[in-house]
Amino acid sequence: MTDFLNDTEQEICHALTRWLRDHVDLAQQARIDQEPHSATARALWPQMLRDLELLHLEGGLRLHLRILWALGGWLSAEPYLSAGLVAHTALAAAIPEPSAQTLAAWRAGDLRLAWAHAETGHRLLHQPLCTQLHKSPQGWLLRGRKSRVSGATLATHYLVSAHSEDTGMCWLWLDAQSPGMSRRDTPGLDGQLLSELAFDDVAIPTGAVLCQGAAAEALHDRLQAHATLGVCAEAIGLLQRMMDDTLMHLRQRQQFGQPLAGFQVLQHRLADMHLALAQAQALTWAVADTFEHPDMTADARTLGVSSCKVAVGQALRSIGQGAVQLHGAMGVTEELFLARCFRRATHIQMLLGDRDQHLRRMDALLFAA
Amino acid sequence: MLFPLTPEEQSFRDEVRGFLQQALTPELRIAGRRNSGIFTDYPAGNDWHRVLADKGWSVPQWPVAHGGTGWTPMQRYLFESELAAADAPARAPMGPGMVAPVLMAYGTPEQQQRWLPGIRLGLDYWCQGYSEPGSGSDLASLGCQAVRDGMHYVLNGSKIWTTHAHHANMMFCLVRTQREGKPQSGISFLCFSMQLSGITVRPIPSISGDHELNQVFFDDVRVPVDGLIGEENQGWEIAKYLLQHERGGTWAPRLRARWRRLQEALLQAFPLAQRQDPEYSDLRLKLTEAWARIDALQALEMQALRAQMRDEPMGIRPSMGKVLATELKQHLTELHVQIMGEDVLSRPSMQEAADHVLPLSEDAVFAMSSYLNDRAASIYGGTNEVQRNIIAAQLLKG
Repeated sequence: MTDFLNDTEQEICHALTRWLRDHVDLAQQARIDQEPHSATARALWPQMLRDLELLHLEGGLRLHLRILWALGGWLSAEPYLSAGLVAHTALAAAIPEPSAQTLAAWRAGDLRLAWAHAETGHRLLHQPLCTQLHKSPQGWLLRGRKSRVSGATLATHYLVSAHSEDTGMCWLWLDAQSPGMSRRDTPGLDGQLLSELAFDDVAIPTGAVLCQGAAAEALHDRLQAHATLGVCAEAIGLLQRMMDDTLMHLRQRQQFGQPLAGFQVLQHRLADMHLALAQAQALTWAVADTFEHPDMTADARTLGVSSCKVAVGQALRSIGQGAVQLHGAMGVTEELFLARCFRRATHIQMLLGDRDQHLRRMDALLFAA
Repeated sequence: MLFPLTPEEQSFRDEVRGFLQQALTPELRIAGRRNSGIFTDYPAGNDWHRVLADKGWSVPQWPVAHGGTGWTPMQRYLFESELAAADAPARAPMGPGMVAPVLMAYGTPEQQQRWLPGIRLGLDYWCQGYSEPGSGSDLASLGCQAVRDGMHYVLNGSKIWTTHAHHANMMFCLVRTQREGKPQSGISFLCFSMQLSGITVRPIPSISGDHELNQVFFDDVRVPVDGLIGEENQGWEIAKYLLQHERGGTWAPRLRARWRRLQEALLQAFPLAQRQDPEYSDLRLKLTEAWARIDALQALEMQALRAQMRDEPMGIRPSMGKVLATELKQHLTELHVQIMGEDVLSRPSMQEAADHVLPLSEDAVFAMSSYLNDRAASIYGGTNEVQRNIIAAQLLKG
């Protein structure tokens, strides 16, 4: 089921998969009882960019999502999500345009971005910005907290959303070493490090404002949409891995004198898992590949992206819970890669709005008239 | 629209719309709207098929050489969507969608010449002789016997659940031509006229009170051997090929049209002043959930259509589509009943309701009939349990 890849994408994804096979140790990856996952990511990310030059490729959103799909099955997608896709979306929206030097640094992996938007208590449909940009005699100062920032330990820069008393929403591009900023890391559900960022009157140079007002709102919508599609694509790769592992297990594991694969009740559960995955992947690629189409209205885009997260949310639950159940006791231990996949699956389920929140958002649009 | 349209696709859609505006008469629209079964009753359904045939659009999915339109998957999708949105009568698939692909794949040029034009033009109306009283899901156990006698097969036995056998003038039928060996290896595929002597059709009223189903009895019916498709005892292979077509095709356009009808019903059931009612929000959210399910199915169907255009084997796609679409359709009919509330308990005819002789709504009658009729959706064409067996077998084959 790789008909969503054109020939070039197929080549890229094959090369990437080969690279991951050589560099990622599945026995250790994302274990809850080992060093946090972000540590390996930190070590591997620059090398991956050097070896494969992924950020030099001209494929836009479409290719970013294919790459995230390929990374998904190796629990290796988060650095790419923030430092690849989200960074690219932000750079493309910067006013004025970023310099050639900045772009080159991003492509080489020397400029690494972490997306700092979420705050404590944020939900999909309710995201007040308590992080404020306010005027002082010394210039603009940033004050506030950002929560659950992924990839902050790897980042050279933060992409921070804030509310300014002058222009409303704005996006800032801050050096990770700026004075007045502090970071505390905590392990995330999926084994990566998530960071809490504190800004205590951080001085903001004019050049650090990426965009503001309506442009900032537009970038916000774009970042949300791209990142949501990003985790959906990652989820498809992740779930395919979980499905394959489960099929293998049912063929091999013998009970009552026959392989588990012989039991109809398990077969039907498998069939339902497959149906959930097939729909999620078909919808993800359908929405992803029409997202940039000029005829798409903003509402149609939002509906599509939310519909995707609904279908993927359903698949994450069905395949996630199903795969663990069908593996029996082994499924709930750290012995198998599967358990770690399940944590990431659950992580993605809650990330950027869960299924029900996206349904509410669709509901508002469908019945708006 | 989940998929943005190219300018060519937009003008194609406009062309279809324009055609429907003049060709789809109010009578046909009413028949389409009142149909609570799988497809519209014979007279309206076939009339509409003939109107499409005049336009050259009755069998778009066929190869161009046989009268197909050569449309892209997207065009076919748009065509189906426009038809559904305009309440065009749903046409019976037994001819165009079931026996025709078999004739193209296994029939002789003479057989294709004899029957395909009649199907395309709506001159013949076919029914399907598959299930028997003792052979449902276990179709290969069928026993309806055909014994070769010179230039004829002599048929004895019975077929059941034969939709529209009381309208059909032709039947395609699975018969037993050999009792030795595996049950699958002794089955043949026969086509014949329903006017042959010795054929009796007995109506079976459906759970909704409609008459769609029948039992057909064969008493020494002499079927000419030129009605044999493929080789003798090749019937099981042909049957499986046909089942793929029966289960294949696209469902989302009709589901989307039905969804809009439910939305309309909901907004009517809860006038503005009543929309603070939590029941309204609950039903609305359920409708939204159904919309999302249609999105996912539509994406899957578009993927299948593209694969089909690349001549890839259909594999388990038809089984997947059948399970998803029928369960979604059943869900929609159930929601419709919920939206209409207790009004569904009165059962006047839809005409009576529409005439406002009684203060009863046509939509409530439709909703309940549809709910009752659609219980069959997860049973016909191979039960959804059998489809799940097929899907799992393919996954576990490895």
